[in-house]
Amino acid sequence: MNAPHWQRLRRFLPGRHWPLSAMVVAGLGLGVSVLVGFAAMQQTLGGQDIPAHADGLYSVQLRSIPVESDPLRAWRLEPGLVDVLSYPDVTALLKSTIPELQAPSVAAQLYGGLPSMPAMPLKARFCTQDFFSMFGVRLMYGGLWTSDQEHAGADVVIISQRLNQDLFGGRNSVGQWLEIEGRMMRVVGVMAPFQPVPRYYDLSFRFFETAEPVMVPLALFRTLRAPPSEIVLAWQPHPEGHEALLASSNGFMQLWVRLPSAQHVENYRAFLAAFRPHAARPEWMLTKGGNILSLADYLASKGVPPRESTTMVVLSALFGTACAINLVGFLLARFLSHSKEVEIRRALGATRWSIFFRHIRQCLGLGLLGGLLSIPMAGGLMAACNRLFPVLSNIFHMTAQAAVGAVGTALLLSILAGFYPSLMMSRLRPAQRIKLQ
Amino acid sequence: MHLLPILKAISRRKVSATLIGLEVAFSVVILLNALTMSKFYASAALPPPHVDWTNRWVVTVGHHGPARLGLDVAARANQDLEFLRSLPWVHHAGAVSVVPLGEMRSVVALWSAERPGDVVTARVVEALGDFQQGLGMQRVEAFPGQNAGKEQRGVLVSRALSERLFPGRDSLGQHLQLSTSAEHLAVAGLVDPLEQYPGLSHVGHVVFRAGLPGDLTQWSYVLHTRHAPLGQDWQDLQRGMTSLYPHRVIREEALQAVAHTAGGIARGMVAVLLLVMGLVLLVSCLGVVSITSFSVAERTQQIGIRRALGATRGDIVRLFLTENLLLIIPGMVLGSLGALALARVQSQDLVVEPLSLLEWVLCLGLVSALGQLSALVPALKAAQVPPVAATRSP
Repeated sequence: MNAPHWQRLRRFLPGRHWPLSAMVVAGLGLGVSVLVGFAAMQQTLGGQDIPAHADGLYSVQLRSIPVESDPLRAWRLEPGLVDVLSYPDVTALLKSTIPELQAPSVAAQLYGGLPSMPAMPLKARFCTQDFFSMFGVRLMYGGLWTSDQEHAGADVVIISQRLNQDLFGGRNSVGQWLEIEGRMMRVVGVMAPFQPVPRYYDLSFRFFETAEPVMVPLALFRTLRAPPSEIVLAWQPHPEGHEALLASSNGFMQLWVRLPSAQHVENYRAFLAAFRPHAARPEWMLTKGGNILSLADYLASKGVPPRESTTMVVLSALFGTACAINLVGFLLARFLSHSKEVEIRRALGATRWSIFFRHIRQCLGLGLLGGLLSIPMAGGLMAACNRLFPVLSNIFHMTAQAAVGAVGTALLLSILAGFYPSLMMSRLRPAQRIKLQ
Repeated sequence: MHLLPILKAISRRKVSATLIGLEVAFSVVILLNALTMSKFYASAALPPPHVDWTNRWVVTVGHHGPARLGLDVAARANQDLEFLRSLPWVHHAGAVSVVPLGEMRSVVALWSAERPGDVVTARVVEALGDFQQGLGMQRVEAFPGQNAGKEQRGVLVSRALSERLFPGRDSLGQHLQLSTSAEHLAVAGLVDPLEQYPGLSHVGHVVFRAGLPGDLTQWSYVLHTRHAPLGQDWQDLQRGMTSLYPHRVIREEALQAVAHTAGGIARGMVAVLLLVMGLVLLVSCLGVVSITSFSVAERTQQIGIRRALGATRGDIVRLFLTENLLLIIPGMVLGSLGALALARVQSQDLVVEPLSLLEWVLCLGLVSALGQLSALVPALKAAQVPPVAATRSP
């Protein structure tokens, strides 16, 4: 008759040597939690949450600064390319018919809120309808502004779910009014939670900060004379005033295109290679050419994931290895403490293989416990990192994928670490014990 | 104590020896690397010693509404500064387009007048009034921009930028050109920036220029106060500034708090690296305990024979500690080599100052001391083995 289920399960568990077993489990849990925790954080920072539909997206960049003057040349795939474009250049680039979709945008610092309340700072992004489809922004209430509203620069806004919660208590606010920069603006849509990490549609400045809570038609950028809040590359002197800024070669806008096929990519690259900037540039600047960067290349050129997280992954991998070596020591000590019992088993007819597998099974049991323990530990590590890096806006969370990875890693490490101790136990000789009895 | 028999004993126990050696080697690699990186980030996380943060405050004003479009920025800022100076608790007041801490949004290109082809990027801070006192910066020379009629187009540059533009030379009086200005500007003074970020030298490229640009809608006043302002003082400030111009949002913050926010990533990295260093030391200590315990358990009979032949308990403890030290030393050598190799890989994209010899030695000393302390626990246990154990079966 088969042994009861719990008895079979018991073969995997630590048995009476619980202090050593507890050390094995704790050590394994610690090593795996550090390893998996930092690897998961690296993945988050590296843009693992960026949706798959971003594959056909390309950042449009123009050759602007001489290679030797580019402070970030070590990181860029093509030094001298700049992702922040001037208004005249973006306007000229938008005339191309090659891309399937194009999304010009610019971030600005505005002030406003409910008409009845004092104004508060509001980060806004001026963009077009295509921005929403290209970056997968879904709406929970209402819809996008219409093409007519977009071209006319109508006083309409789309707000984030968070701002909707703060201002309207989370109810459907479509049709409500906000007062922004002294203009009454109607809410036409409320975005579903939209928090890309990193904020990949604009990697020019503080790209781990939250997405802008207010989306405004691009045509209003001129009407509102909104001051750009993201990086401004001030390449040339220009008379003061918003119109002068719009006419200058100073960069403050992003442009993304969606190119559906390799042929489109090739054609658009050729178009950019021959592109000449439409605003007069000072003589020290490069005056011809540009390129497109796929999202992966753009992330890499901006140092994403950051080298800080790469450093921590390297250290955590070394730490995991140190823990695995430790595990070998613990398992040797633990197994050796019942070597007499094993010798008797051998004398009673147990084969080497059965002894080996018995111990490997125990290693797996310990590994499973260590893996399960490592899940809350890795979660704690991520929570600690959220507190230590408040600028990253609580982006680290334990995912199901990381949890499975933790258990898998723990099982793998326990087998690797337990191989030699199990082999050693299987080599114990029965004859010696019998002879001495 | 003769080392040869101990070395022979070690060679017979290759597994324990290898495990302890590897354990120590990995710990040393992690420890040395984490220490190097923490030194790097600590220098960015800690406020530079030359800045006096006491009673320094930042008042940021954001102007909104249609009226902001016709704002006379210079007149508005001068009127505000006059009001701020009239407050009895304000000692100095200045205005800056942006507080030069952390990432700044505006980047300009510039070059020295004598080498126009050598273009450098930098961050520009436009400033008015007693901004140096407000920011607690130490200036090397006076800022002529404040001395009306003398040299209105002078700029202050950070030391790092001065060294980049005019290497090995005195930059005072030299001329440079900003991409945003059609004229040459004389270097009127050097300042040390409010933050330090070794390895990313361009972050330390800062130019202070007189006057606020006319199209600003948000800027900051930097105050040096006679004492820490009370709640009533801030209310007076808010009321007074709002009466001068109602359409604005006013926010006060200690300058040190702004610096604290700017150094957040670096500080977080130091904390994480310290945590990793603590954990690795703990794990390696536990590792040495477990592996030495394994070794003691394996050699119980041998210890009994030694005791039966006259070895004292002290001899047994010394034997295990010496054995442990002989295993730790190659581990430390191996770990040091690994740390050097890792540092070499990392130096490809990060300019990190290597550890000094003293720091290196102290780090290895700490590892060996903790390793010995950890081995002491099983060594003392081994010393308790009675001579009669020699007669027991293994």
